[in-house]
Amino acid sequence: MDVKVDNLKRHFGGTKAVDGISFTFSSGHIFGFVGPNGAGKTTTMRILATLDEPTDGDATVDGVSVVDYPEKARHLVGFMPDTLPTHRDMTVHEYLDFFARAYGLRGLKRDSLVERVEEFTSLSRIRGKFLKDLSKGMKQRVSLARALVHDPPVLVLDEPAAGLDPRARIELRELLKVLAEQGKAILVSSHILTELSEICNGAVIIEQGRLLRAGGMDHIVSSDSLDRTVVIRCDGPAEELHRELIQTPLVREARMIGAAVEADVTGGDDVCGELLRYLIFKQLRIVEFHQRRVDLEDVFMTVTKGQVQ
Amino acid sequence: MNRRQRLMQAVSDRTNPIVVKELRQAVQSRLVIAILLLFLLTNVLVVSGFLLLTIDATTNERGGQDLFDGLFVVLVSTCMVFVPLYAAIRLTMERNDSNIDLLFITTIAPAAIIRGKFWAAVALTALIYSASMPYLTITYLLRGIDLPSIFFALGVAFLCTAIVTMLAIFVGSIAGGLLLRILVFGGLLWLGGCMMAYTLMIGLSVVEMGLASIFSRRDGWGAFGISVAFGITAWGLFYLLAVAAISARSSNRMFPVRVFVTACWLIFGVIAGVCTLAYSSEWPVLIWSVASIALLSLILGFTLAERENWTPRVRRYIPRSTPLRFLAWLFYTGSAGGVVWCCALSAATLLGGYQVVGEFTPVVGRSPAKDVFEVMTGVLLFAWCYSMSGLLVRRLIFPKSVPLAGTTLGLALMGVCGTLPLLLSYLIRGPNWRFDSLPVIFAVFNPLVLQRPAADRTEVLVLLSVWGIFGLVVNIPWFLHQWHAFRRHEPKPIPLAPSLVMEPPVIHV
Repeated sequence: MDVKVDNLKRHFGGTKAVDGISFTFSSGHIFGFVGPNGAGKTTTMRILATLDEPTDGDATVDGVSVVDYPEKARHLVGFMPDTLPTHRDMTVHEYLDFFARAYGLRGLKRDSLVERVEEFTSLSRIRGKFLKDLSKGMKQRVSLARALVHDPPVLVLDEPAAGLDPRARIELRELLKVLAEQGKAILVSSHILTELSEICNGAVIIEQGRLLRAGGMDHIVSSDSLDRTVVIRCDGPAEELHRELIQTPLVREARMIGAAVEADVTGGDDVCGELLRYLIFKQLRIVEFHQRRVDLEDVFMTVTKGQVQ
Repeated sequence: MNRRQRLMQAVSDRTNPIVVKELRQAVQSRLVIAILLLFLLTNVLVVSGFLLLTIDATTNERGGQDLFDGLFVVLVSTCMVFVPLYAAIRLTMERNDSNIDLLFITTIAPAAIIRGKFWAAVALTALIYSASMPYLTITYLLRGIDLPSIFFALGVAFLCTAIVTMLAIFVGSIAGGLLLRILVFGGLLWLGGCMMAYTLMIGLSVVEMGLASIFSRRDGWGAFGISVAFGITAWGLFYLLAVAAISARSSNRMFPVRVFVTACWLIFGVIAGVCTLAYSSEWPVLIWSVASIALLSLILGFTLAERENWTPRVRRYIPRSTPLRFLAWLFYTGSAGGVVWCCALSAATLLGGYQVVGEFTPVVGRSPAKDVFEVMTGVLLFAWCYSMSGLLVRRLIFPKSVPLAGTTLGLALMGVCGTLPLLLSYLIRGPNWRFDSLPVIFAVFNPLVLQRPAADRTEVLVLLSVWGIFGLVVNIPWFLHQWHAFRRHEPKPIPLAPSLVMEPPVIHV
């Protein structure tokens, strides 16, 4: 099952909240949705969840347009907003049972689905507790359970890890991994990029409503426009290696880190290879030469400018 | 699962989810429990106070009636104040929490949400009624009261509570600023107060005089019928407005409201026409015309605040043929079509009304009915002129503003243009100045000018007509633009066999 976002636009008067973004993701994969505040993430997610309509463009879930057939698309999408459940005088079980009813689930099927979701999100023990008495982490779990209650093949999660303690974050991460293994397509927005890097198969980076990067994680971090950082260690004094490195035009900057030197190379893989050949030519006995792994955070900092509309 | 459990499960499955949720929350609410306890305590105090303080309580000819009056006031106050306020506040809180958004991604419809809120409030009213029943039974054991009167009074109170509750749900469903909420809440209190006074008056007088006092006369049946018809209409209008208020902005939310208003306008118009013929009096048609023009003038201003473009979700239901498309343009959500719809109904009201009133007006001289019609024409022209002027100012000076700005500017223009000539005149002529002495050309901007004598009024109507035609001509591009934009969107077909096979990620930029 594919989720396709095709030239999506959403304008509010003169403000272009989303300005022609396109990307695709599929079943069994977790896609990170990244951007500064006000970039248009929530607007895009609300359109995918059929809560808002685009000014132009479309998004399809398994071929079903969220613009033309919102009623059908709703069965396919589970949406977790960035607001937490605040219903008073309502227990966890009553809350989930209510949403199951609202999705039209009937009889024993409803009971079993609610129980399964409670079990999956570890809410069984606290199903009788009132929502207002729950911690933030537990409320996030309830919110995720609500999004899962009708067993949708696509999950759209807006800042699910916001404000969670480390343990709750790890637990949420594991839940998402299990859901992806079950074959769900997951789009998750978060500002905690290191965590996204660990669980996501791909990412979409937007700023000011415009798409900056989109694709699989390998594709994003190995993009040609990004410079490399290599860690080099030689059998000899690091000072000599450092001196050689700062003299070559292939290196923009070099830093000594213990016995090794970290160098920012002015190019991609080809320049790294050239640099290694140069160092061997200079008869330095290289014992370690590896690229420092570029993560989502590096990519994000490189491609975004921190501008808001 | 045995038969009883299966039955309960079936009932549970078919019950509106909102009713289930609301009732679950109500039984766990401390406020509801506190109000019920307070209600029971007040009933105990009323009954025990009456029995202790009235020496001849059991032999008094009016004993049952007096006790019923006391209990009825407690019951009506509780039902008509607590239930609507509880329903309105709960919905307002849910709107503020933005949790109601989550309901729209389920398959539950906005109409079902409003119906659920209403039936939950009805269930709460029934609970209060049932708590009151043991005490009301005592009144029947005393003298001076009959069972049909008790049931009639209770029935009227129940229906009035239902109407006020729907009004309160509509108020709670409005998403707006604090000022708007205060204004609407004030309106709710006023209307609710009127309804409560009406309920108490009807209930107490029926118990006092008996049911025969109403139903033995023909006009009693007429008044009862009109009250019921107005009650049902008001309930229906508030219901549809509440549904429209919580529906997604991009939806065709004004369509049911316009259809309902048109149907009511037509049905009441026919009834008024029949009554005019039956009683040989122009007043039924006159009342219908005045009520219609007042309502349509109000609607005209607010219609300007509706959307000026349509998203595919509305456009996919636009008919292809031009005559049907035009009809859809009038009734679907949209400002220009709404203004035309409003004007069409208003024009038909005035034409029909003038025609009927003309039959009853003497050839020589004037009739009060004709005066009323002229004033109503003036009211409508004022609404039109200021709406079009507000729209023109918005289009020229604030072209990127939201449609609501047109309504706001129209109201602001009316405030400024209505008072500025009066202030200037006051400054020039001093404290002895009178509004009636101001030349019509300066007073024409103030709606109060319609109170002037008939000769002046004709001049005012002519000036307003010129202003109105100018407003129409300069805004014609706005109407045409919306008419041309109102075209059908052809949805893409849904794939027949959705892919179920898990595939490796396909990533495109």
